[in-house]
Amino acid sequence: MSSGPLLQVDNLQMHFPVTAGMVFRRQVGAVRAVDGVDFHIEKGETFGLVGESGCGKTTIGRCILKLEEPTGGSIRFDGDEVAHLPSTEVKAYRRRVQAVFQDPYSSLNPRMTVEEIVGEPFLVHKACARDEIPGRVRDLLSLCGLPGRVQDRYPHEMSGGQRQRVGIARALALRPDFLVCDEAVSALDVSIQAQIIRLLEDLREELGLTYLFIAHDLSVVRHICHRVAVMYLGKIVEIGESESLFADPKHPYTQALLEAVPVPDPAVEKDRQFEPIKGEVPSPMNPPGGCAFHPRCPKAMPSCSDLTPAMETVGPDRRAACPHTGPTQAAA
Amino acid sequence: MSELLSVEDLHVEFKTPEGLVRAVDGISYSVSPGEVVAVVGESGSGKSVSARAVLGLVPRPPGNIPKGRILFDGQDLLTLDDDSLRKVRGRRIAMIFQEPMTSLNPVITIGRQMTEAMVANLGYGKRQAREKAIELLRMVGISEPARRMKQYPHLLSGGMRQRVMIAMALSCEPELIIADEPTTALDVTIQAQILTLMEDLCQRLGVALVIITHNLGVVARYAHRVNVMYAGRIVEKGEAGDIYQQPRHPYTAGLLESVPRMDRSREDPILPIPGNPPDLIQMPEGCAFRPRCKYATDQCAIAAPEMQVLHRGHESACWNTDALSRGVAA
Repeated sequence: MSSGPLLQVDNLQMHFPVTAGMVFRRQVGAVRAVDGVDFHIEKGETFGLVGESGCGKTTIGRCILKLEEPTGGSIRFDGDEVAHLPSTEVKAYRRRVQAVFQDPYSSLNPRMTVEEIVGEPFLVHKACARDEIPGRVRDLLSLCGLPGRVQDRYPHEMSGGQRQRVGIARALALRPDFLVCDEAVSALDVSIQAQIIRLLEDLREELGLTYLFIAHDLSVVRHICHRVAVMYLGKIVEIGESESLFADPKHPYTQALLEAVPVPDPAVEKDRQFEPIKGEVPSPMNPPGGCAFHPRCPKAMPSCSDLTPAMETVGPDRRAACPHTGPTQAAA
Repeated sequence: MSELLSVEDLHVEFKTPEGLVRAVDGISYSVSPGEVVAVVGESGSGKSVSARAVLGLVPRPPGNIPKGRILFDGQDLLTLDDDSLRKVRGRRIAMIFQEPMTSLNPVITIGRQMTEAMVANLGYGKRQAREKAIELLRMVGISEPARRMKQYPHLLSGGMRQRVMIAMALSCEPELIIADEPTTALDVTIQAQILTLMEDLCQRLGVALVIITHNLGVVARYAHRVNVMYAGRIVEKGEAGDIYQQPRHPYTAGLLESVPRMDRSREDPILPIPGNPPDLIQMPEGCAFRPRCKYATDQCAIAAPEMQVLHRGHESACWNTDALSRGVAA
């Protein structure tokens, strides 16, 4: 095992071709879902990826999970390049990298019992003898806070929270080092969501897991993540330590995003004056020139439509892609 | 202030093969003109069903409303026949649903969908309706409204479709809008745009708004009064400030402790409510929240608590509000 970060992503690109024509199909453009993204995740850390729909956060997760072949850049896991892993090695890689998805309704096979679902990874990877599986499954279920009696149930007989626990148990079956949690708590009710967040946090400490936590709910991300990257139209616009990034966002998009989240307290909300940012996220097929955020940015200057801003260090352990982070920079 | 809408002891039940589901089990709340009232609850709490009942949109069968009154401007909507109800619905009470893709007809242009209601309800001519529709689309922040009128819903983004829904809801100048999770499917920046727009329009036009949501942040930002629902009943109601400052029902208190907050330290733990909401077919005896409640006593198992007034308009249905306010678990 190398001493570097567990996951290192450099200049990752995922361009989906857009084709036209029924008979003579030709490429007429590309959706730049992920367009040059760099970040790293240390062992034992929870790294958050936030942004609005279509910003490319899920695509990054899918590239890391080898569900998508990136069109450029590199992904190094524990020092080894995995972006273009030969298919013979993908299986070994997947023993170490697993996923928890958003929708516990559609990510579990409705015709399999809980025991079959959670035990399937052992069969696929021939990780243990067949007769050991029920015992292993029982241990995994209890680790995820489920009673042993659910073992013979089908997904439709369980609540949303229980199903998500089954999804987590399945992901942990092969004792992975790294979990991609793609909107893992978004579909759950508030009281159940808190239970699953606590479970994920406890499991990380207990098993020494590392998480990539992809979510659009900023309050949840702030709570669970150590470091966070904010994405807009396929690019990271700001990255840094979670606590300080949420306390003092530098990039105008991060600022707008944070401002839009209401605090569940009328006393706080009453004194808050805010103006929601205008417009919507443009199409990733035809992103605006220069800084992609400039058409919506309250601080935009004429130069913003020409120059694509590069990521620059704007504070301790903080980088942002905006040349106008301005006076707050001095304060940091 | 006289009440515009007053729901009194409303019951809605559904016959299912497994048994009778009491989706709404005796709820009462009221809305005054120009007011923003929130109904908060988790899935299955009955919040959407109660809203649909107000509009006469509960399918019967399998649904049934065995008991209760829905007084709108003094008239009981439950006693109206279909024709009279249709004159109220859409015209005086409008509804905005969660998923704007499924509530707009995909094969009819935006323009026709917008003008249809005005022609039918207000007796407008085609041209007059078209002009009003364009004006409304502009008001809700849609660029090039005349061009959008000719388009079909799939050409619009989620936020735009929700704006169209709002414009449609406003088209017949309703006195009350019921919005069922109006921004749940939208991104936060768009959510902020839509809700601020709705708040602003309702204030300007004096329209009352009932927001049905599970998002406690949205409630805190926009609602004047709040009704918290659990397993078909309202368990706590009051002014938003009171409910959040001093929740007097263990469920409300638990909800507030289980959401991470942007304005709190990250170290502040979130405290989940243990267990799951009850199965509405096999409801526990007594208080429905008892199996998950840390303040539960023997009394809670015997009888379900009624709503009791604590102080000026703040009500809670709990036997142990005193223990809760002292923070002493049973």
